[in-house]
Amino acid sequence: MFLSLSRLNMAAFFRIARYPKSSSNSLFQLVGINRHAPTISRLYTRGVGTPRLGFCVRQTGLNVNSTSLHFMSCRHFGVPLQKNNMNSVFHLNTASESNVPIDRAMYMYQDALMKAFIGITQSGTPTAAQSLLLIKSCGSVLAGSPMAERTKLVQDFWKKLQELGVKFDVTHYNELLRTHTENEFQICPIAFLEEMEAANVHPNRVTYQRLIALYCNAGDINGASRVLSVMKNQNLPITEAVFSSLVVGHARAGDILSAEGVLEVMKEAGVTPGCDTYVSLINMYAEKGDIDKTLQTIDALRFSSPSSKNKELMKVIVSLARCGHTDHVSAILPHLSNSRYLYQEMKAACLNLIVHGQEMTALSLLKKVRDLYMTTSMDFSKFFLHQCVTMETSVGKLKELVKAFPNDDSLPTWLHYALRLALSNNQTGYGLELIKALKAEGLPVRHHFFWPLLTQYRKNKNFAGIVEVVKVMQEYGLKLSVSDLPYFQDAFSSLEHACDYFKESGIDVTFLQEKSPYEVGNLAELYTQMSSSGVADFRGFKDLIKCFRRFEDVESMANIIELFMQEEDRKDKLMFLAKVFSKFLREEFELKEKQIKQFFRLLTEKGIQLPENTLADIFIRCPRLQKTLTSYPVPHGEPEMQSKAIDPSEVVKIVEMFKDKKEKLQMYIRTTIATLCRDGQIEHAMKIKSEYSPELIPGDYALLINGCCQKEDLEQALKLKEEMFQHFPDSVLDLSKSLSMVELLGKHSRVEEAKAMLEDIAGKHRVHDLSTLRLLRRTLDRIADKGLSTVVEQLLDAIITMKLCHPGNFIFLPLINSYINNKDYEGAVLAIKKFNAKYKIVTGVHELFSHLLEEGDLDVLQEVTTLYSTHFDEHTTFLHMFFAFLSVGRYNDAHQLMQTVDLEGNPIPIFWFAKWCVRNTKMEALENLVELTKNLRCDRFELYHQLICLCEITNDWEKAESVWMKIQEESLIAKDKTLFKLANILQSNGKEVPFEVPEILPEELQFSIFNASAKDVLDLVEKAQQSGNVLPSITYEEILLRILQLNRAEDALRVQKIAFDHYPALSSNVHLTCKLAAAYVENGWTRDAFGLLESVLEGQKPPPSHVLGYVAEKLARRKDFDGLHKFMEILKKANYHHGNLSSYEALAHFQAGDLDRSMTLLESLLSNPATADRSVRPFIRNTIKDITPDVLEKLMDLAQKLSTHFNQHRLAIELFQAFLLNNQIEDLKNLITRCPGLKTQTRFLYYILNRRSMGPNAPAAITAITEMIPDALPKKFIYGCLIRGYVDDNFSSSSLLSDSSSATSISITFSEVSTLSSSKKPAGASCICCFRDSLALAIYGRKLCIDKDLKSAKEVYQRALEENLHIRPSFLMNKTYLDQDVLQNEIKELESPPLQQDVKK
Amino acid sequence: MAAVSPARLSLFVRKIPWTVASNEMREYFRKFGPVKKCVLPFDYETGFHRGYCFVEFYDAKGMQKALESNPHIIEGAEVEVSTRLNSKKSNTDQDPELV
Repeated sequence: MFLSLSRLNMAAFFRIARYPKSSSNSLFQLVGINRHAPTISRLYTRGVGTPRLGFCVRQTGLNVNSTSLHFMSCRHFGVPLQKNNMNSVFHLNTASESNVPIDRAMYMYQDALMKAFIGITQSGTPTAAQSLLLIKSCGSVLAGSPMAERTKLVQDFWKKLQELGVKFDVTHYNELLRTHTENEFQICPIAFLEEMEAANVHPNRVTYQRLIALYCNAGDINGASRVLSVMKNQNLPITEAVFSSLVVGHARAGDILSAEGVLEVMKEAGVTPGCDTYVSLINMYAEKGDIDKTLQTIDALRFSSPSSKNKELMKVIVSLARCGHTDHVSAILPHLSNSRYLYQEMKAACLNLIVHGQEMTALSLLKKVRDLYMTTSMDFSKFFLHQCVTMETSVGKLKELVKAFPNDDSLPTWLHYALRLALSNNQTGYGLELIKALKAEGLPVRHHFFWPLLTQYRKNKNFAGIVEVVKVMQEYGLKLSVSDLPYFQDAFSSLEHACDYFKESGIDVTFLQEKSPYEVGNLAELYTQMSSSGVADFRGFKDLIKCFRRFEDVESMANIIELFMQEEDRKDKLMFLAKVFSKFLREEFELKEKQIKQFFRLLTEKGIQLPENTLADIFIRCPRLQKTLTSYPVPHGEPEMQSKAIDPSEVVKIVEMFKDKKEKLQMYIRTTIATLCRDGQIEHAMKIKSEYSPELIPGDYALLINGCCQKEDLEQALKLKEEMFQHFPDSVLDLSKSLSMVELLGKHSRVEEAKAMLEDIAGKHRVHDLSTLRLLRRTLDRIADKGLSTVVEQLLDAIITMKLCHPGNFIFLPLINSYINNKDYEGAVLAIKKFNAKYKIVTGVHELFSHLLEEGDLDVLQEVTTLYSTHFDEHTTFLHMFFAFLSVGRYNDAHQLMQTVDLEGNPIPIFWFAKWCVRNTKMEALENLVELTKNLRCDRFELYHQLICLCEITNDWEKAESVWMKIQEESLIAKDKTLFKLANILQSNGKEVPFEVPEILPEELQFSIFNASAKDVLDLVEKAQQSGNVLPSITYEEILLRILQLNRAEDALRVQKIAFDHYPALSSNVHLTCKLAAAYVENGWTRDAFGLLESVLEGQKPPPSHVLGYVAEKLARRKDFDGLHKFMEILKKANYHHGNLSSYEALAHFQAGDLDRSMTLLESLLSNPATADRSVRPFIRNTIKDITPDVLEKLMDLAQKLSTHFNQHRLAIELFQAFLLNNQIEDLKNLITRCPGLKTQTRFLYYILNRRSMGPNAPAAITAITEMIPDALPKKFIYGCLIRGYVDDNFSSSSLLSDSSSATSISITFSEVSTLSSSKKPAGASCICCFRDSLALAIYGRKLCIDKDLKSAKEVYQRALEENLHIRPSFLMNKTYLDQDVLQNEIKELESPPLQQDVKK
Repeated sequence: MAAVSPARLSLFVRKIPWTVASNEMREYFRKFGPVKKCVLPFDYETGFHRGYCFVEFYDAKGMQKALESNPHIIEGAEVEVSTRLNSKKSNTDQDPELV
């Protein structure tokens, strides 16, 4: 094979020629280079998915500044950056997919790790994978932190995780060992094993390997041998990793000769020394300072494989520098070469060197790499300075280093940069030193340099710190000013406090004694201040609202609004305007009307358009304003909703359709034909067609044509098509049917006709979308399956010239497949060449390669390779060659190819191939792929996941277990989904699962908590609780709401306790807590309810008054005076006024039978104008049914008195409503005669009638009222109420029709139809039916479909059929909203009986 | 001349070095024309400014001059100057008063 390949004229193959044998026999065969390097590109969100990702990284890699990396690393830990972002917390809990890149990062910063740690721990119990990742991240990947710190960190993490209830398994212990080894921290292995034993965790092969490494690192060869003998006793295989450790062990013990000897021992044991071993050896030489041998071994390693050895070289440099052989570093530097990840590798090495105090060595490395990149960009070296600042390298040395940086004239910039870093790291001392250095360089020192420091002290309320900074400021001649104020003011309890404190410390604070602009209401001054400091962080809205409400300085007000409008998140900021207008009393408003108008005029003049929601909010709070500002555009409420539901154009179409009387018949014909065609009874369908041919519409023909195409009856299809165009010259055959015909023509090799058909399609259809492309591909695929290459080629040409789709791989593939099906490879190559020449596209790489390799047709193979490599690049071609080798099972060839060619690069094809293997159950190929791509930087997790997926398909638990061991050995953290699958495989084969199975919420449950049964949700909570998992708070919320919906207060109480334990913040969720409280009160658990309400009342958002009313009512009805009083106290304490409370008290007395007290309470309530409003309703509502005639009389008297003498109709209105709701018509009449003033209260009458119309027996009640007060309300309104009443009353059509006066005068409008629709009751249909308005019925039906109320829709449809009204089923079938299949079935079901009758007829 | 909306007299400046505060910005843009307003928002949580700034001129001349003279280098760093971000309108329809 390789001989043939080496004939290819390519650079890579020269290498094969040069080392034809070494690849198989060489000492330096590459086996398992364990490189923990990420696809750095994954650190870029944008980079993912771009095809040339590897390259794009190299170019942009330089711009990675530390901040973005911090940010990214946080993100990839799956840590929510915004804590309130429930979704991210959710993901964090359920899936640890996002850990991928950071796990393989070359370096990481400690604060990023800390952030991740805090994020993970705050969101509940960390998962096993998260814990593993945290432990792992404390190793050498924290290149910028000293080892001692790293060790402390990992110990802290371990302890904290244990406290949080993480159950460590063997992987965690292994990873801890590894981290300790990397951090050169000495632990007692025996104690460690004992600890493991105590935790009932059994060490495995990897544990022993790591222990050996630990011993060897310390140079304790004896200890290592002891472990080795244990391994041997247990018959565990000794892998390369062990030997590699032994090399280190011997060398550290001072015996370099024995170290070299390990290689021989290895070979004797049948293990080939690989990269790892050699790297260990090189490092040992370096530590000894033996530069000659180091270089020698490096050379040997470099020749052994084509991939870059930069990372290994960097390790050597660090080893040299750490052992004091800095002078030898210059000998290694020239060996560095430009490679894809050079920058990242250099960065990691430099961070490490700086930590060890080797800044100068780091600098020389930086310079060397900079030269390789040929860059002078400042961004290149920023990380270096960053690390120096973190390590607080002395300012003098820093200056020296900076001077050696590329742009050596930019010392000020570097100093500013360093200062910024120090300031944001809160390194006060270092920052001040740097400021001193700035001053010494003659650079200005400004006020705001000190603000970050002040901010920090402000947050800690560290007064001494603030004073210290202020004093330093004064040293530089910077006097405190108003602009400094916001940065320290909050620390002090008040401004006076600050003044006193500063005065005591001898600081001049005269500026503070000047009055704040708010106090004098000087908006102009405030404006100047705001305009200089910006409003982004403006806080003083309370004062601002006060100032604004005076409406004195309108001009400044407009200016300030303008400032806010410049802000990006102005919507939140502008909310204060709404507050300005809220609770404006009428007098107040009238007094200021002129200014208010002027204010809005000014805004308009300034071109300021307030956001619509702000405006709406203002108008809601101050309806008067809306009338005043007639010129201002008024936002409308939800206009889109309606327009979406009723598409006017479709309505017109339907109307026309309904006029046509044939419609019904046509509909049946069509359905029949459709059914018959689908069932393959095309002959039968044709018979129907010929019988009813005058009734046929184009759609019927299309169905028939499709049926014929499926039967491959070309002639018939063509005839039908002709007939169709004869009858309907303007008709258009839809795309899929046209293409079916093309397919059929193609299969019969009638290319010209097929082309004509395609042309027809191109002329008539909107093409160029994905579905067209898929249809075209399917068509071509089917022709290709028959091996008709020439036909495919001609059609493909036609498709592209007609611009039916853009030329691309996807559409070309059928052509190549058609050749492959014919085994005509040369033809395929020719076709590829032809299309390449025409469209610059080459396709079918994998298919062609695989088949050629299988066939062994080397000549064509060479041709294909040349062709591909000229079109793609060397890398992609070889990668596909590699895949082809794997897929045909020639693994040795694949391995050799891997060794000779650097396949590093775009990882996306690798995943593609992995999935391909899973699809085609090619286990061996996939295994080999995973093994061989070990040193490529691609997502190993995903590859292993695919492997496990395949194991799951084949149900091979042994394989799955061995895969898991490999994952551990590679020190990878398996994804949750992988572990989940693995556990499944083991469990289903009756094996023990040696790790904790991660909790993966079944996706169905996540989305259907609202429909789940109580048992299901409780199970979910229980399961989570038992496994120590914490569900996301949003899930708890959903679960609680669902439980309440199911009326299971006891369960709610239980779940609430669990949820609130995990998420205390849930208690401030007003909606949830109020619902819970209401449920508890209902069950009499007042204490629990009060607890909840108290916490809500403490929060920012007050609970809605109706909830409080509900609680009070419940208490009152139960005559729970204690509870009621306590409740009032709680409200009082929270400063919450609830006007109706006395009414509830009255109710409680009434319930207790103490009539007098309740009446007195009521009277006092009503006589007080402040509380009269609405306050009696709870009482009336609850008592009206049980009230005795004499009490009623009393109430009536009172109502009459208030109504006639005080013009206070409240009581009368409440009584009116209560009577109406209870159908006490006599009392109602009585009331109206006694209180004639009621008739004037139209606003309430509207409201009450509206409500009543939705109640039972509404029509009768409404008719009665209209008789009593005939002219108080407009007729139209009354009729509207009546309709609604009839609908809700489940009326029969006759009852409305008998009421002829109303039936004739009402014409149904859209708004009424939608009212009816919203009632969602089939009665609505009968109502509309009785108006014989098919359009309204159709709209109604459609609305029901949109609401997914299929049953009602069906009923509407049935009713329409009964009433002989036409509704097209398609009109009900709204594809945007419905699962078409379901509906189609439903309608089929519907249609079948009448259909059969019709056909018989 | 009718009143020109402030948005049309305002510049949006980005990538401002952290060493510079409102005063320095005002000072810098003064050379193009009288500056009415200069808003450089600071982040009270960190004590650093947010890197962008609005500069409003008294007249269109100053603003146009500032827009035309590129690059703008403030304390060694090049800042990006553009018309107001949210006034896309004024970018598309050429304002006759500006020309």
